[in-house]
Amino acid sequence: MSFDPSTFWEALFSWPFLRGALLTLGLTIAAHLTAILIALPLAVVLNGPPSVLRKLITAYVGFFRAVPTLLQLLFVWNALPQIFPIFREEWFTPFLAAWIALSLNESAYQVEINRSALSAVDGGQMAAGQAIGLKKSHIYRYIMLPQALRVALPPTMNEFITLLKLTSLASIISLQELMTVTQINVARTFQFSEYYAVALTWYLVMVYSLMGLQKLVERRFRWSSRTEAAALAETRRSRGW
Amino acid sequence: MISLRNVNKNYGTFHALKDVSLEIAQGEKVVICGPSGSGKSTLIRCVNHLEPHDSGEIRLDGLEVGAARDVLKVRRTAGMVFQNFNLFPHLTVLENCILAPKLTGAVSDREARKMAEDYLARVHILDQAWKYPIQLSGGQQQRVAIARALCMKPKVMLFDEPTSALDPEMVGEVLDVMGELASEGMTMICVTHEMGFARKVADRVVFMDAGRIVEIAPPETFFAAPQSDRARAFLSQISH
Ligand SMILES: Nc1ncnc2c1ncn2[C@@H]1O[C@H](COP(=O)(O)OP(=O)(O)O)[C@@H](O)[C@H]1O
Ligand SMILES: [Mg+2]
Repeated sequence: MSFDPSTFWEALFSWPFLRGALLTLGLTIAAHLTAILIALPLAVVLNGPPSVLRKLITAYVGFFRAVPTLLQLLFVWNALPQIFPIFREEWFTPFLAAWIALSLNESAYQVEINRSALSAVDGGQMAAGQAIGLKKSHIYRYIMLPQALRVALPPTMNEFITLLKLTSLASIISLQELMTVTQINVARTFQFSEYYAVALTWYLVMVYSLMGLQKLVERRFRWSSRTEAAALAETRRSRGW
Repeated sequence: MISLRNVNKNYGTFHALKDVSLEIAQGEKVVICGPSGSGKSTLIRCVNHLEPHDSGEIRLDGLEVGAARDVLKVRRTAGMVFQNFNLFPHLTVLENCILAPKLTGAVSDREARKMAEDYLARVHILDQAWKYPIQLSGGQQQRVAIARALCMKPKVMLFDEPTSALDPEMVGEVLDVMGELASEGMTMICVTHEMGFARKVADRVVFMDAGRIVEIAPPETFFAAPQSDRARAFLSQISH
């Protein structure tokens, strides 16, 4: 048995690994939020009547799904500075490159999730919002999105977990995320199991925390079940809001 | 109050409204009936511009329906009640009612709430104000939908088969509320096949078939002696 617990525990809370885990998590959150922001208006357009814009969006989605994520990362990091001199400057870090590449890549998947979630909302909801004289932005903000979110949440969480693991690809552009730190330590010491166990632990902690968060968010959708809606209504009444 | 002149509406190549003309005075109650697919829903959805019409003119309380700058004003002038209620399931009854008044900014939160409570009381459902729509029966949901529409203080109410999706025992409670609204002087267009309601409340019955208005008559005349063959055929069908 060549597992050295002290190496494991020391590495687990060491700064490089903590920093690596934080970078992994930060990059995932940043890229996913950006992807969702890009995807939302695209999904709204896709849900509307046929148009030239809709064709362009379909092409965009197809493109980013077809190209391997690794190629997108390498392209943004290596080729973009060759094409646009502005990317040759100091501020263009591996983190930024990975953020851009993963956001674009993820947005293609998130568009489809958002589109189908929006179309899952009953058509009468839009009509009802229009009929009481609300403008489009208010209808989406207060009527469509809260209901679509309920449908979109589980697949979005799946995407987040996939993305979390995809960030390890950024080690190829020398971003010091969790897997890069792990590889460096393994290469230095050949203590494979200890350092792999550290990486595994952090990935598990991140994914499980997130699943806990999902449970919390899902409590907001209790209105969709009769029994839970009754409990929610009672709670709200007793608190007076 | 409401005026349609030679209104035409197409869905693609399908001609859903053909030269429809209709004048409705303030306070008047009009019931529209006719076979399924004859264009009844399309007609009232054109009045509040849920569907844009292709030609002809629609005016509502002096506003030109279809003029881009007046779209929201038109919709706030006309309240609409749908066959399937279309309450917002993620909001409580009270929140359903105050959403639009709050967002359109005409009133404070307190006033919006007070007004919503008044209208919920008028449709006899104030005691359910804290519930979510899923907890209510169909009849209760439809009454909330009426209160929600009234909270925008509309000058006209449009009803699209408001009782068709209800279990028979709940039809009465909704028709009662509509009758009360009518007796308070609200201008109403109501698509319905409830003949009792039409007899009691309507000033005129409009009979539509295949996208055209075929016949307009006071209810007693229309039901006793329909002029057109199609109206006769229709009436004999629904009276079974
Ligand atoms: N959004 C739509 N697209 C295409 N055809 C439609 C649409 N809405 C209604 N129609 C058609 O227009 C006709 C009239 O519909 P509608 O006004 O709903 O009739 P009614 O309410 O009298 O049953 C029907 O034949 C229907 O199929
Ligand atoms: Mg209809």
